[in-house]
Amino acid sequence: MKLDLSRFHIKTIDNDKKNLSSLEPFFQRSLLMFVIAAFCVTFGVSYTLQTKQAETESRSFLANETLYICSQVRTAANNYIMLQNTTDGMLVDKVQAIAERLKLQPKLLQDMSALKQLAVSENVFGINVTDASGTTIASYPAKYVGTFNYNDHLATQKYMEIIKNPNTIINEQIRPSTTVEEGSVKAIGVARIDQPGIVQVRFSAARYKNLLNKNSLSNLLTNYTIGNDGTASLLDNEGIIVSSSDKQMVGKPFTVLGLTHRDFSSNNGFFDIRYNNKLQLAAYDKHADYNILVTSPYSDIYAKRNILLIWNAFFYFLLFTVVYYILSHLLNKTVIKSIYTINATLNTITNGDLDKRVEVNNFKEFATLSSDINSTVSALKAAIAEAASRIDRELEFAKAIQASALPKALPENAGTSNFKVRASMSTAKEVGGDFYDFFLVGDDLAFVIADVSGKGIPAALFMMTARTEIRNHILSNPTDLAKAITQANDELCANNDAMLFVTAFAGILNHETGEIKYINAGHNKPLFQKDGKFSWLQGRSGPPLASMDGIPYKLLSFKLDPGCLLYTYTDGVTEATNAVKELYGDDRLVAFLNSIKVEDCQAVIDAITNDVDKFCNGSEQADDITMLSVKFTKNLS
Amino acid sequence: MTITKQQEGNALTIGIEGRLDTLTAPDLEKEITALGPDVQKLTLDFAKLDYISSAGLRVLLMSQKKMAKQGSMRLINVGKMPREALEVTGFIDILTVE
Repeated sequence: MKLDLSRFHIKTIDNDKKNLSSLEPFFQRSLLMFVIAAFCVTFGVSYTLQTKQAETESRSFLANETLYICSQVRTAANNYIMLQNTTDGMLVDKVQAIAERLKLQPKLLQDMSALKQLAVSENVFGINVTDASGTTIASYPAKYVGTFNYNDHLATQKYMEIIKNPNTIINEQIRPSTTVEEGSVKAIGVARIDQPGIVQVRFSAARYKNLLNKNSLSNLLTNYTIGNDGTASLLDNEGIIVSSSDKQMVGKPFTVLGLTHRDFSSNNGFFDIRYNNKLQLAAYDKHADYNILVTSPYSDIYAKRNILLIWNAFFYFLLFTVVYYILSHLLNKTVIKSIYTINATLNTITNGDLDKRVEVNNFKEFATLSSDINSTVSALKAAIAEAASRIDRELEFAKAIQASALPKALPENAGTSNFKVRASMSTAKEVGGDFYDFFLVGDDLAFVIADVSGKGIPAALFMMTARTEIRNHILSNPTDLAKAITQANDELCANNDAMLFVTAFAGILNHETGEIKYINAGHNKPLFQKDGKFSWLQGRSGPPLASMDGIPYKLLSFKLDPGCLLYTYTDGVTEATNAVKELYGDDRLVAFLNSIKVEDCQAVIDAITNDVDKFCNGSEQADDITMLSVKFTKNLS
Repeated sequence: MTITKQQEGNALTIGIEGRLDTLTAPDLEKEITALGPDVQKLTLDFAKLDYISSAGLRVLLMSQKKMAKQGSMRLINVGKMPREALEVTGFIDILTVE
């Protein structure tokens, strides 16, 4: 079923919907925002976790290092003590050996040069020997002899213990010497073996220190490495750097390491320091007599993390890009394409093809949509068809009523031998606005042809009224056609809210004389035959009926010769149009009539009907076509 | 069919271009019906009117009756075909044609 629905075509998108966004770009924007957000979140989480991991690892690493260094320090300290003890032990042995020598060679106590020799050979720079009262009886250097009593000096009183208890060993710590040349000195005292008294031997502290130094803590961390760029430092209680992986820091205070006073005096812990122009994580280990500080720059800590993060970012970016394109493509393929297909089909339907079906069945939802649309269209189609057919039936009925209202032929027994009348009407739609009428007025023939403005139902209804009014008024005024028409006009004007008007040609043929009195109310001029030729019947009585009231219509008349025809018609004949929009026209009509052999009314009507048909050649009939022909046949056999 | 309007005070000139037939007559009818009482002199300019059918004549009749109540109506520049239609139907007697 094809309809012309283009007249009902509403604009595709209402104006206020023009600002709506399109599905695909909206979805893509949303998806893109989501993907970007997801990327940021996953990367952020990754970053946080990796950073935490890196820090935890480096803290435990640094803690381990401090533990290790701690044990190293303890070991070194133990070694130191051991070494010190060993060294001290060796020195004590040496002193006792000297005591033995003194016992074996008492001469030494008197011979200064022999004592000096002993000192030199034993590599000591001072030997003092006392008697039981503590007074020096022999010494190298000699100056102490007879002058130095160990009991007299506070610093040396402890040696007196040796006299009381010969097992005592006095082992002094390194101290500055009383004599400038000697520098620092280490003194050890033991008991004389031959008799009560003290043997004190003084060693050069420098040499002693040297020995210890080789094993001291200052070299502990010199070659220590913490990661790529970290540092390890050992500090004493005052904060002086005893040993460090950074050699030139040894001996400097803790502040050069970037430690604050507060950091230094705090307990074990982790804090950030700035050292070597880098921000570093420091682990601080505090002990009774030393402190350990190990650091690792954050750039080191994060180096591994950074590489991992870059790979992460790259991978996530790739992943999300792929996801984005896949989802986007999926949406396009499944949803958007389907919607556009359905739209396109709907367009075809609203353009008039009600038989077209929507067939988008890729998914359940679209299949359901398709079948729902098709059901709707089918239902509408059926409704339209039913409404149309109902109207058709009623119009057919109306057409039948109209047709039956028009006379077919004159009654049999009227004075009809002097004239003939024939008519035809062909409506453009089922019902029309043209009509004709003919009836006897006495023995005369009254005939009317008329055309209501417009066509279809309004014209048809007015046509029925007009026909009745005209006939009745003519019958009421059989001798005054002008009055009849004038009165009919006033009646029609009165009930004419729709402002229709009707052109009309009404005439009465005198059956004796052939004179036709007529009123032409705005109707197209008829053609009458005289001397074998058709020409236009001139004269106008007034405007179309029902156009204006109070018009006095003028009576006109002419004489129809015996055997001649009057041909009246409506403008459906002259305005018939062919395919190239040409009108049949007045000239063609009169020319045609004059070209054929005209025998009688019906023949004329049929001939012109055929000629108009031929002219139109299948083009749709635009207007009602009505013709009426009268022939005066008096004196013809 | 195109309609042009030009108003000067209480005088309105409506120009009609094209055909005045069953399809186009309703547009002119809508225009005329919408005129208010302020229009007392209506001039229909037929200079560009090619063709008029009975539907068009009906609208002219309706306009004449409306304007007769509030003023006057006249037709100007009526071409050959429209003039013939007016003459044949006799409308030329009811309308003011200049």
